[in-house]
Amino acid sequence: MKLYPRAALLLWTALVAGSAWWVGRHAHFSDELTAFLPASTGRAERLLVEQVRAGAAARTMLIAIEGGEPAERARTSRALVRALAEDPRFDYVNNGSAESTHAAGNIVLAHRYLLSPGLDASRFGERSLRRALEEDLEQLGSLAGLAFKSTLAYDPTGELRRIAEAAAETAPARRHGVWFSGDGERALLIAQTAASGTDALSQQAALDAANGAFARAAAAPGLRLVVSGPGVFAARTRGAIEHDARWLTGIAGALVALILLLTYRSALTVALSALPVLTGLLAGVAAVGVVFGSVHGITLAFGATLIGEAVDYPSYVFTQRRAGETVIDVLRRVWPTLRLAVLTTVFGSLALLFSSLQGLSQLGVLSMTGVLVAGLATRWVLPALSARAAPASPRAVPFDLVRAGTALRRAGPIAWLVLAAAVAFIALRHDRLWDDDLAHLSPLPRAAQDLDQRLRADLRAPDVRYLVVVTAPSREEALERSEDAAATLEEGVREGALGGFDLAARYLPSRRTQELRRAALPDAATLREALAGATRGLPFRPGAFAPFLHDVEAARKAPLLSLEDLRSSGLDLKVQSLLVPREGGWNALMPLREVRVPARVRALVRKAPYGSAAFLDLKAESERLVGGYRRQALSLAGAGAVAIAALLYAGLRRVRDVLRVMLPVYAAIAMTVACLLALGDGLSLFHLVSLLLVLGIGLNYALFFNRAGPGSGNERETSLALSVCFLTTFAAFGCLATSRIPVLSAIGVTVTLGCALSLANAMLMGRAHRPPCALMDRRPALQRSAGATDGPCARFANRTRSR
Amino acid sequence: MTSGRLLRSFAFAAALFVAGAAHAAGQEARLTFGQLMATLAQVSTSHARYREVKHVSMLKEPLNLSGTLFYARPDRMEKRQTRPFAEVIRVEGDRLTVERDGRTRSVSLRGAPLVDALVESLRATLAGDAASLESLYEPRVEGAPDRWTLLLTPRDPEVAAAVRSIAVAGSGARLARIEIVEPGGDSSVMTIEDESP
Repeated sequence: MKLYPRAALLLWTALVAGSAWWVGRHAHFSDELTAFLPASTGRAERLLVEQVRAGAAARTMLIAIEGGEPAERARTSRALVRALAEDPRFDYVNNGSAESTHAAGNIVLAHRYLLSPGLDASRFGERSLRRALEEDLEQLGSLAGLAFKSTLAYDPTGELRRIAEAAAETAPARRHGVWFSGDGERALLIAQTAASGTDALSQQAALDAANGAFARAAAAPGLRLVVSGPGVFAARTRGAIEHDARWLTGIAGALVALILLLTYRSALTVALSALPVLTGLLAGVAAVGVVFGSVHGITLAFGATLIGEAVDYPSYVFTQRRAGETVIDVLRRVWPTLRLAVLTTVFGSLALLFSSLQGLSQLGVLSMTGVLVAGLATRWVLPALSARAAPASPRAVPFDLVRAGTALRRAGPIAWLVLAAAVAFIALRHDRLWDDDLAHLSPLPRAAQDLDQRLRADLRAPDVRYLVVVTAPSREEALERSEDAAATLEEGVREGALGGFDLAARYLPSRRTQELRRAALPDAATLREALAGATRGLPFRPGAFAPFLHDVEAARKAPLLSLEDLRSSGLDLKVQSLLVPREGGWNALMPLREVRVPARVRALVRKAPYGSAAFLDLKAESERLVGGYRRQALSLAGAGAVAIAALLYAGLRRVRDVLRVMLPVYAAIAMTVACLLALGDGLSLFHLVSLLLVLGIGLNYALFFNRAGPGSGNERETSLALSVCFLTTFAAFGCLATSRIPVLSAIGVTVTLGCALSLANAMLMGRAHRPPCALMDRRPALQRSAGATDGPCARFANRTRSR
Repeated sequence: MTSGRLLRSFAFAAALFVAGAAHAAGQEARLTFGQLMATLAQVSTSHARYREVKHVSMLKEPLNLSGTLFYARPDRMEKRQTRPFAEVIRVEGDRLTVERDGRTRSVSLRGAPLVDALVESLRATLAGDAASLESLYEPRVEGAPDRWTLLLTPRDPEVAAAVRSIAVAGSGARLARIEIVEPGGDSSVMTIEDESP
């Protein structure tokens, strides 16, 4: 054995061992979805990501019980609440029952004079009291009187009613004493997990716990548990991607292996074919680990498909072997083209590498390293290995793509027409080209997203889209400023610009407000006198309001309400979710409901004092972010295209050849984009990533087509190589296209379509080998092939061959 | 139908049977819940005057209220109180609208179980809607077609906390008196004089 194969094998073994060691020892595979969420620069962006990542909203689990009789649903709801309340995986659970709201109810009762909105001294004057008591008499006579009577003796001024009315805005409907959907079909619960919303594994554990508790709590057969929420999404996403990735890659791998086996009729050759791509994947994962510290699960899944192109590299070598040739002999002929194929993909990955979205740049590192290593392994390791075990010679295919391509050249104009139509269509749709909606990037099926919307509406959970954020240096000031902002927002509620809003100060008013309210309470003598005056002539029994006098006096002397007082009532969690520390300050979040006139709400918020309140449209915000990444990826892809062109020029030395290689591929991409637009809503980041793969694979097709021409002596080999490569790609990504996960199927459809079109275009518009190498040569194929050996294109072919 | 309901219905039917048998041994024709509902279901609209006396422990004297009632099949009802203060309560479908002091408030009955139960004790009875009544109450009928009493006991614990029982008395398809007894001992009696043509 010569020195070079030995060195190559040694280096390869070292690389594989090193990568495997690193991956085994250090690689941390993360399930956190946030690597694929926009990282942050601005305040709104940080907040958005933070909300998605760890905010209380992200830890909220929406639970519904369906089926069976209403009473059974209610009974199960109660049992489920009891079970989950004991479970350490849940911080808090509520179904609206007296049991779950008991603690909160007691706090509200005890601190009603500090919590009641709009409370001031005038409420306890004789005239106000008189009005309140007359109102009470009417209430007693009315339908609501029955419920109201029990609180009349200690709360004649109706503070509890005021607090309840404010809270009712955000409370779901109730039946059988627990929360139900408006139509009564579902009993509803809300829970908060202890784990972060993006910690998919812990979320899965919480989900399993909920399912287990439900199975034990279910009061009757036929009842079903329905769960949704960001954490549930995280867990399901992980599960679904894992499931589909496992199955589809299994099937795709089997199909690819079958195609290769049929071609080579040798298991050893198939094994050798898999070697570069596996080496590349291992090295790529290790590289991502080294650069980023951890490897995202999705990066691994998508990265594995992205470097799927590398499966083709050995095929380009093995299929082009002629009788009597060794692998090194083939490589001598094929390597210059293959090298270009590898390098163009590496340059194409630049678009990913420099993305500021971490998930995408991880993908970039993985695909760049992977492809490069796979290319090197094909060049140096395969010959070294096959020196001992010679690969089988491939089976010939019963058709000749190159000749077919030459024959199809007559149909070339059709390709140009299709391209023109595609470009026109894209131009027509230029304003609706992109779909930056994060929800559409979600790998969850539409049904899951619809369910979430429905439960959210049933639970009267706030609009996830609009949010007012108040910033302040301290928690107290955040509370104060949010109270000021609330005063302006009330105006919007009265006008009907929005349905309502929530804020932490509703449950924990600022000390300023609490002090004002406490100071408004009159002393015992004053109140007794005012009450005596107010009840004169009314039919109330003497002494009926003794509890009221007692409670007001107690409230006058009681300390202010603090966050500690709210502990374990559920109200503390509410406050903590709406009042969050930020570096160097605090944010008070005010979720809005039923925003009907966003512009008006924005204007009102701008009017709030201090200029510290901001109106956020999270959807627009996230779309803007995704749009930013998309534009960045697009300009990087542009830079990549320029780099690829330069690279091709360095390799091919002729502008015409460069054009001839690049045009079919970019035409195929344009046609693919047009098809995707015609099929669906718009292009997402994932389509863009897939198009990069199409670029890589398509360039390979075009390069090899360009290399082979009638008379070049390698039509049959090239034809076989391209057939095998196309079939394997088609099989692998065709499988992916059947996935029910939008992202996976988007990748599958895009790549399958793009590669088919790339191949067709390479055949239709790619090669012409007679001066002036016209792009639209309409002369009959035979006439052209006559002069094949003396044109510049043939010269190129000769040159590549002689290398 | 689930076994729980089946069992309850069976128990109810058995109770009726036993009661019926005992009564039959007595003399006159007994009225079943189903028959009563069927009779009531024949009325398409009705107008009535009512007087209501509420005994409230916090008050020295009972509250006296009066006004008119209007019902139109299938689910429209209007209670127009004129004394001691004006209040109009309209119910249609799930919507309850209260008009008082020039202010109008509207709530969903489904979101307010107690109010829903009170409204249905009157509306579902007027409608002869057996299913609605049975979902909210355990109904029991006593008496004969020309002089019957429908006893309603709330099923929902939340409603039961405020209402011990409701007794609706009437003759034929007409309601004459509704008495609501609360757990605390307070009660209200509404007497109805039908004015339907």
